[in-house]
Amino acid sequence: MPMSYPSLLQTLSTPLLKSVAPLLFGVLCGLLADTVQAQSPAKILIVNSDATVNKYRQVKEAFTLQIGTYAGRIINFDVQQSGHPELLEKLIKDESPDLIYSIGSQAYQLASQFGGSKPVLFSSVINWQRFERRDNSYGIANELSLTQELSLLRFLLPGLPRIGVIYDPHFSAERINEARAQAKELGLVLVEQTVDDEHPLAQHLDSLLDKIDILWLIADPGVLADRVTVETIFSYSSRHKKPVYTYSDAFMNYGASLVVAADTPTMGRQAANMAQAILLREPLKETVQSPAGSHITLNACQLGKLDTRYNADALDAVNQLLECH
Amino acid sequence: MMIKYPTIFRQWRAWISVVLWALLSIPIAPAGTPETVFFYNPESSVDNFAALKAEFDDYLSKQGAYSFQPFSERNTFEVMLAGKPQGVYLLSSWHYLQLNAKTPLEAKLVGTAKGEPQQRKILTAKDIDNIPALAGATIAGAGSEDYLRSQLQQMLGASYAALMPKIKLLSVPKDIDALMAVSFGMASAALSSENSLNKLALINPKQHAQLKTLASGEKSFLLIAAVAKPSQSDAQPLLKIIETMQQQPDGEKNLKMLGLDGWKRIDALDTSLVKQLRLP
Repeated sequence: MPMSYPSLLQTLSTPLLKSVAPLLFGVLCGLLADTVQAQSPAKILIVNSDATVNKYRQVKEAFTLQIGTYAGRIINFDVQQSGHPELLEKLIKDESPDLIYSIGSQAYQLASQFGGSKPVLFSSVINWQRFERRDNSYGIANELSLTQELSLLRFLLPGLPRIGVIYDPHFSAERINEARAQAKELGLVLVEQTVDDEHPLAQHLDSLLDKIDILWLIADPGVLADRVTVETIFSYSSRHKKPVYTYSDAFMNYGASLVVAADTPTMGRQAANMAQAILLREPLKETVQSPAGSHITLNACQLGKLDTRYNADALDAVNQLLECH
Repeated sequence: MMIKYPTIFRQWRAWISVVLWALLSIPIAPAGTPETVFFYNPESSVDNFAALKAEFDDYLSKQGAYSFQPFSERNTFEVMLAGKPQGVYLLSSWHYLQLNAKTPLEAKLVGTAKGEPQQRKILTAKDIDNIPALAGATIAGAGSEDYLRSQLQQMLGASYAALMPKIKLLSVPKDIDALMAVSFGMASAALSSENSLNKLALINPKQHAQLKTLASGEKSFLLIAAVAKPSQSDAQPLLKIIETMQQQPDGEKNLKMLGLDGWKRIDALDTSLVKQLRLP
């Protein structure tokens, strides 16, 4: 004869379980509520400084694709197109989004101004450190860290151990300290030259370029003050037959040999992962992350003219290869 | 009654006719002639299609009326392939095996790196010591999300199936980005090839020493050069040009852009290896 098991009702009717049932029910409801809260689709407001800017468009597309179904609803606000940035304040009040993702400096400033207690996430903000940050502010930096830049330089041009760098201590002292430690790890020597009001750049360029294998032009507003300064740096480097390594494709026209910048779509994907972590209240190692992807332009033509070899095994990592055609 | 056009207009008409005739007379090769090399690789996210097109077109045009057509979108590549255009297809072995089920292809060559036709994917981490600790973690890797997820599933096996939805994937352009993302704290673990981990050891031995291997996958082939089935005899000259690329400096450089340093003929591989490219 098959054994008969007690039904759930019978089990619950035992005196012991009768007494603990309300407690169990409460715990179960609590767990369910937490799960629902954690998994319910979020409402995200994307504030874009100008949707017609290609880089902003790319980063937004990547964000939207990566966040996927986690975002139940995405509301868009284009600062440029709206013509009335103050409309954002009303939109935030009306919609009460769970998170505001701001793309570009203008969007970030407005989101911070009108966002109240909502978490504000940013990307594509040039030199984000210049803005005041609140506790509910998170982001993906627009520039690779100097340590990343140095590692990729070592990867692409391994035969150039003496790296010259010009910086203004008011802007870059801390970053250069990190870079110095990283250079040591990579077996590189950082030959540093500081500039300030009393010691203008041209005074030092000849002596610096004599001591180095490559000039590393970092994003330092104290150094790259104007177009004339940039032209002076490239003109001296060319005269000394030294390649220039830098962070933006804008310098290709001046004759940069290697440019390593942040990869735009990766920033959007990183922002989406960070948004998810913020909404799930997961612990974050860093509230502002460096970009995880790189975009590399190698000017093989210029390197050839300077008789400088590059690492051919790194060619599959190069996005743009400029040859002398 | 005949309409009389001014002389100048009659001259224009004549010129337009000449130009149209000249345009129509230009021999335009239909898309997908055996002179085209089609390329799509979901194992890399490096947006270098313009560079690849320029370099390969330059190299191939010196060998004959050949051209190179890279694809950034999987769907577009597969739609094109479904039309069975004539040519040689360069694609990842993972994609080749998936495609073969619906669009019969025949692998002819396999790419090599450091002389090896296969590579192994590995999962490395810095501050994570075991697989269960990956719950909630971000894993960075190069390639499409589909590809990364399938590699991870294969690596972790059925016993960790419940872990997969708890992992966040971050697609980055290349392996070295994924490995550096772990070193610099943007990701908890990296999915990369063993070859790339070896490259990191050359760039930064200290960072390399900090990474631990949590899991590794089965070896898989590098890039495959295939033709549509039934095999086209007229694709042989183009296959020969691809096979001998490493013998010329420009060809060698272009191979490096694909992460390769040579090709091996499929029929020259061990039978046990060739079996991996056949459908069950």
